[in-house]
Amino acid sequence: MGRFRWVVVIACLSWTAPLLSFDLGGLDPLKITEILAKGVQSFGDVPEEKEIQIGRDLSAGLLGATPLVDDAEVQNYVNGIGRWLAYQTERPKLPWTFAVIDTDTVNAFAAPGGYVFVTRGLFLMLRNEAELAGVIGHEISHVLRRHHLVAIEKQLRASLASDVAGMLVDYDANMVDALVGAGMELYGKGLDRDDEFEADRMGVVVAARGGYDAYGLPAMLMTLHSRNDSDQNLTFLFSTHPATEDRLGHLDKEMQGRMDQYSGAAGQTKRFQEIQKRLRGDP
Amino acid sequence: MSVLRDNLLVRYLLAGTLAAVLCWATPAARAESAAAATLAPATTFRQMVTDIQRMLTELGYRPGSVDGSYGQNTRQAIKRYQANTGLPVDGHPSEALRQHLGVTSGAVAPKAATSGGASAAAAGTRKSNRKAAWQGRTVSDALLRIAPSGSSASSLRLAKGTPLEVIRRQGAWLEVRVKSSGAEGWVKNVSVVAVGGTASAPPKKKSEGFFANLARGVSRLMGGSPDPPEEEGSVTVGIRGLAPEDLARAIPDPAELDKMESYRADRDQAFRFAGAEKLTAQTVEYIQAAGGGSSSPAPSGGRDE
Repeated sequence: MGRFRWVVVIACLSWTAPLLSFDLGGLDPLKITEILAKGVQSFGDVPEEKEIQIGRDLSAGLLGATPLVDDAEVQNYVNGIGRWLAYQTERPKLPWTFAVIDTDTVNAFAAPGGYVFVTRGLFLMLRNEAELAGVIGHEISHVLRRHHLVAIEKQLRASLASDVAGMLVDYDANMVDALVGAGMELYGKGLDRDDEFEADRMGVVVAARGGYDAYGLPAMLMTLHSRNDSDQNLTFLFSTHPATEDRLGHLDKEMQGRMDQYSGAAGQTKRFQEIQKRLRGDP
Repeated sequence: MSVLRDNLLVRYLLAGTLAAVLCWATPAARAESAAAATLAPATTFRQMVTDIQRMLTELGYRPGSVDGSYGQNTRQAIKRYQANTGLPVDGHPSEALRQHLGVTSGAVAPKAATSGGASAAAAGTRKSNRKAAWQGRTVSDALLRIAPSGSSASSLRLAKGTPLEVIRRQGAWLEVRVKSSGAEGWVKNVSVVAVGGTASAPPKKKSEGFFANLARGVSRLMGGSPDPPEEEGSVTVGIRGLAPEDLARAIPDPAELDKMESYRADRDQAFRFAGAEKLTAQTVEYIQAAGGGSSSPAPSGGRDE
């Protein structure tokens, strides 16, 4: 980050002088200077209400690709568990919103501001509520750490010349298209590996704070690992996350001993199976 | 053999008769749509936007309130409409768009008694002769919707087993044409299975033409022999899948987002949810990255409320 700031400062100094005297192919020199000056702010440093609006717009995009499972009981259930878990975190006041979306593809998504999506395919792969808590804890952690916000902003800033300044601090209705474009691209290619590892090790803690077995997430990863790589419903998840073996390896090292006192709680719940039953029947 | 020939002969005779009747009826229908196409231009931008909003609302695209102001919701609704009808997607209101909507929605003249038929006409509008990508049928009762969204208006209830031609897929939705009536609209992916071997095979010109369809419909009406038996189709792999390409093509669905937010749980609901399973909150510190990880640890779990 430090090095980036220097680059910006130097760029500002070296760009402004010539820009005052030359017309640079239609680009407004003032705008460029402004953009560069804003580069000093750190990535993802966006006011909370903008973060929420960004999350809403990205969520509308995701839902445009896959609608909700049309079942209020299912949606209320994930909102119950999700909201409970979110209360155990440092950002309890975000408008946390959870959903099960209608696809067989096994995956989960998060959007800034507290939006979390679990696919029906993933839900049906899980064995108990503790595993679901691990998955939701992982997604909640992406929100807590503003992973998507930072990644999208990096992506937008890389396209400096576009008429969208790429500054999420100034996010408004004119930037919706650029944002959704960048966001959908990001969901398609995935976050940095380190972001995923971080969400894994935070996710187990969030689940444990909610009173769940901390080993729910690793158990779910083991199920994933045992699945056939050629299963089409897993292709998306595998292509956007580090190898499951690596994720398990990291968690193994990080959790060692520390989480053992939080194992075994609320592993098996009847209500979880009821919801799975609802998801299995075609709505 | 002769039975078969007689059957065919009857089919074609009937088809001919019906075709004649239809040809006679068509000019009237055409005149009607011509009238729609010459919808008088809007006098002001505001009026144009109001008309567009009203027609989009009727079609179930949810542009928000019909107030003539061009905002986010209207823009997104226009985009969805443009994408669904194969127009260039720019989200801008224009006179051309207004005309297009006038024809599609039939919203030009104030509608008289909206008896099922009117709404069926909206979604059942024959948009084109677009080729079917594959053949399918419904596996459960399903709603034929005007737009690819669960909150969109629906026009027809399709009984389980209704034969469909699938035109294209968008996310979890399939744009289909009901084989018997030609009505077009959207149904959920999950309600449709592919039928026997026809997937991806282009429709054969001769058997899929207007007369063949008509003959089939007529023979069904007359209690004649049904369509050639269709093999039980296996579900085409990936129909219900979500891939990065689907995301890239996604058109934001603010109505679905509203629905998602309506399920939000408040504090009480969350704590009741936990209480029902006797879950108790624990104090647990975040754990550090293995090997001195690259990112700084998150602030530890203060539940500052």
